[in-house]
Amino acid sequence: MPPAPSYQRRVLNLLKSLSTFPIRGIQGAGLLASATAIAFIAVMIFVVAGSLRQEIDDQATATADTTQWSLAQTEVDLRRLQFAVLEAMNDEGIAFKELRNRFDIFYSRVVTIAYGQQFAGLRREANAQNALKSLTDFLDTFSPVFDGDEEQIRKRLPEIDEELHKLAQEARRFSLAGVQEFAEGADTHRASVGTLLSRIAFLTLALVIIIFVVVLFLLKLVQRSVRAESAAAESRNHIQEVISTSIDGILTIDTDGHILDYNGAAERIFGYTRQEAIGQLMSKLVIPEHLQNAHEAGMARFRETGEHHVVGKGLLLLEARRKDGSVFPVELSISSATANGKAIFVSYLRDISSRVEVEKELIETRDKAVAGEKAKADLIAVMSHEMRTPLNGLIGTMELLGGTGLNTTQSKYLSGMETSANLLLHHVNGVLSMSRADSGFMQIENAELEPSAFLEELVESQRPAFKANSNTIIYDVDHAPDRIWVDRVKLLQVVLNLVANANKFTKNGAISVDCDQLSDGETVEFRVTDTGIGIASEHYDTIFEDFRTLDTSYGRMAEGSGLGLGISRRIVTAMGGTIGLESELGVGSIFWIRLPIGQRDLSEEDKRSKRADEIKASQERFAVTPVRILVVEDNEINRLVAIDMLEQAGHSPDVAQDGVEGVRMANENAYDLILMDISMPELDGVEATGIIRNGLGPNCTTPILALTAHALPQDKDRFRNAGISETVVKPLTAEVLLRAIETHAGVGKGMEARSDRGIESVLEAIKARKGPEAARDLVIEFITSMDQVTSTLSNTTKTQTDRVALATLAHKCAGSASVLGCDAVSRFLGQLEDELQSGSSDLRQLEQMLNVAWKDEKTRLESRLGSS
Amino acid sequence: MGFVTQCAVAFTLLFLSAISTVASETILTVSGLPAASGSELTVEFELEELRRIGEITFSTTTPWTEGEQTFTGVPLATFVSSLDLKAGVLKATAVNDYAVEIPISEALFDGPIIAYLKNDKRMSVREKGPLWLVYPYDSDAKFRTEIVYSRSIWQLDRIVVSE
Repeated sequence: MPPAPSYQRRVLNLLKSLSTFPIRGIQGAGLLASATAIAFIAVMIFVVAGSLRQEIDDQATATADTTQWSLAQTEVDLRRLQFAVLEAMNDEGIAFKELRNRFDIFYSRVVTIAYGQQFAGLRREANAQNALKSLTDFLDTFSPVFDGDEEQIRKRLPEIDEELHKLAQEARRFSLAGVQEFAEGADTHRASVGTLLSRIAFLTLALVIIIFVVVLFLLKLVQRSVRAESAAAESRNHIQEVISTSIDGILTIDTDGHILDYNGAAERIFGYTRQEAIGQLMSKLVIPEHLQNAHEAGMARFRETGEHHVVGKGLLLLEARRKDGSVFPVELSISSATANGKAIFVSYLRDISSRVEVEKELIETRDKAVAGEKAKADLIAVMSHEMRTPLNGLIGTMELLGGTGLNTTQSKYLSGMETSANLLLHHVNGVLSMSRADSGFMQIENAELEPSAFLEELVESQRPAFKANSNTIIYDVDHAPDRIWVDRVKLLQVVLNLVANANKFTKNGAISVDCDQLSDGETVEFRVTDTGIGIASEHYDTIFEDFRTLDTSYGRMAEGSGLGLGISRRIVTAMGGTIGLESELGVGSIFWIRLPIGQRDLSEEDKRSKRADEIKASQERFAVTPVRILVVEDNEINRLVAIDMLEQAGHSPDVAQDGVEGVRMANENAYDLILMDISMPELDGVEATGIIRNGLGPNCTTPILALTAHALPQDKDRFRNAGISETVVKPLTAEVLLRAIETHAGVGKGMEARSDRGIESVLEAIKARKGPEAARDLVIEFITSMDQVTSTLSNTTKTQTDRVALATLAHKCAGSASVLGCDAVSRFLGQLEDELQSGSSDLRQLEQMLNVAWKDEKTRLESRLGSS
Repeated sequence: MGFVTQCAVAFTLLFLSAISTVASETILTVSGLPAASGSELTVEFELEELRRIGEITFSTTTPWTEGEQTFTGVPLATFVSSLDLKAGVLKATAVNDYAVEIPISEALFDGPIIAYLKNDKRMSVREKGPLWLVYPYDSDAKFRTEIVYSRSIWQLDRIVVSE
């Protein structure tokens, strides 16, 4: 439950929301458009104002005050000329200079209005034209007079006065025409100016409106950015709050590794204050020395290539360093973000010292518990082994004792002893098989089985026990499948256990054993139903646990070790099935097991038929070929049992009392077979075997059969590695011993003579039973198959399918080889089969040994074929 | 031949005498000039004296004439500086008693001239002589304003300087 990622997510979301406030966007376009409009209108106003200015300038000339002045002055100058004329008429002595001057001034005035540009418009007016003509006519008429001498002027003064009098009216008329003309011009001008002013007014209004809109728009923007700013501030506060209240340390660093931010939790975790941390290199501050190089390399790589290996990779477990130098485990996650256009890294980290401590303690506790369990299992296994050895001696001795001609009473006592011993052995075996199942070593060997026959046999064998408890027992196989393929021994063990339990907990009741094929067609169910005391439903699961007896009364009634159902459960599980029960207190119980029906296994069939042949052949052989056997056994009783069994089978064994003696004897005499006890003082069986195998004595290749109470799989491997040919788990029985001798004897020194005899007798037997051709065919087929084995084996590469096929072939050939007396070959083939099945890859040594052995045997067999 | 020579000599003499007569005539009286003693000084200018102060020529139209005219005269700025005037107002008065006041600060160079020739001829009173303060109206819009027009005084014959 690391909260770091959720903090991280919240902070990142907040940062994201900050950057997405809608401030920019369309505003820019709006402002640009406004500016364009304002500029356009301003240009328009400028243009119109320019026109206005031009208009005003144009009118300046026409309507100048000087123009009005000139108009008025015409009359003034005329009047002053009149005064000068009148003065000259009244005063004869006056000088004419002033008069001439007045005329010249009037003259220049008239010239001005007659030719000046400013009067060009006025001159087109009819009244003005007439008036002007009168004025110019006057000047034209009288300027020669004024240019002449004074006498002439004096003479014409009255005429001039009269003319001037008339002219005054003309001058006035001209002035009035001018007033009207200029008034009209002023009107036009005003109208024009007015139009321009209206235009300016309109444009100005438009400008004002646009500016108003822009101002509104800006106002809106300001409001929005104020809102955005306050939201951003709020978010910042929020982030700050999240960061400061985070229980995880949060460190922000830039790409150079400098710490940019550092929260309160980080202060607590590392011991540095915020002031101490900010601006420092993170690597120098909190990263332990042994990680600094890796950190710097990572940062450098990021700066160069932009790739990072830890960012965004979820939770990492690393170590960090406190201010006091102590290094502690942290859990952290790093994410990258961008601030002000630069990459930053945000690390969220948590001190997980206590968690790691707790985890460590948990692991230690668990390890101790597992070790304890293991010790217990080991103890149980070893105890069982150690108990089985003396028990084995007891049972074997009792078996021998039975053959010594006891009287009736003695036989009864012996029978009781045997029962007790067997029960004890049963318990020991129970514990042993349980520990074996727990260690994963339980071999299921499926074979064909007829449920009806199986149940009939089982029920009949148990009937006496049921009678003792006044129970009846029946079985029902009406719906049972005809055949199933299961491990008979294991199935028997389980069903017997259930039946025995049913009998134990039922008095004066009925027990029924049924077998049905379930509707799926692939499952067979065995049911044991009783009318006993029943089991409460809360115990349904617990009764399958080990050492479980339900209560004292139950315990008293049941002498069981409490292991039965636990073992049954293990066996059924190993067989690929299930076990369960239905029960009601005081009414009875139904225990059921469901197993896959299975199918015919051809190799299994082969094996069975082969074995049958082998046994037959060996029995024939044993009859005529006693073998030399060395028994190495320190336990006197076991030694006695073994010797007796061997002698009864027609062999004459030598005996060594311990490993040292065994090795010595093996160096002195050649044997066909050595039986070697494993547990011996001084030199145990494994070591003794190693010495014999590695020495140069006559028995370095003699088959060695280990006798042991140790049956753990790893032990078997160890024995095989030491050179032991086969391991027989005690108690030793005649059947097991004889089969082992049959399988292994005849190899070693002096083998050939006996082998020849052996094969001869075998072939004779086959000839006698099936005819000479059959014997010959058998040999030829064997040679062909063997050649196939050796050639396949020489291929260096083998697929799993090849290995399985080769194992099958080797198995088949081993059987034939043993029948034909090629015991070395048979043994190597057996080893080959084991190696192939165990998946061993190094087969070269075995291949060489097999090739050497087979070469000899092949020559021998071929010569045999030629001679017959 | 002799007649022609005589006529030429006579005409030349007549012209020279006319020139000398005109030249000796005062055409501009400047009064109110500050004198060293603190009293005011009056200076009279003859045509040749004005010409010696400075002479430029330009062509322009005016509101009071028809067509483009060529004026030759002394720039007002040069004239003012020849009188060693730095500030004050020139009150210019015409024969017809028209009068204007021109601040000395506005006696612009490249601006007005006191013209004594129009189209290379002297100007009679009928032709708005003897002097005409003209601006190069066509050269710049700043000379086509009401104030400039009102200051364009013709028939100028006297100037009074005042503070």
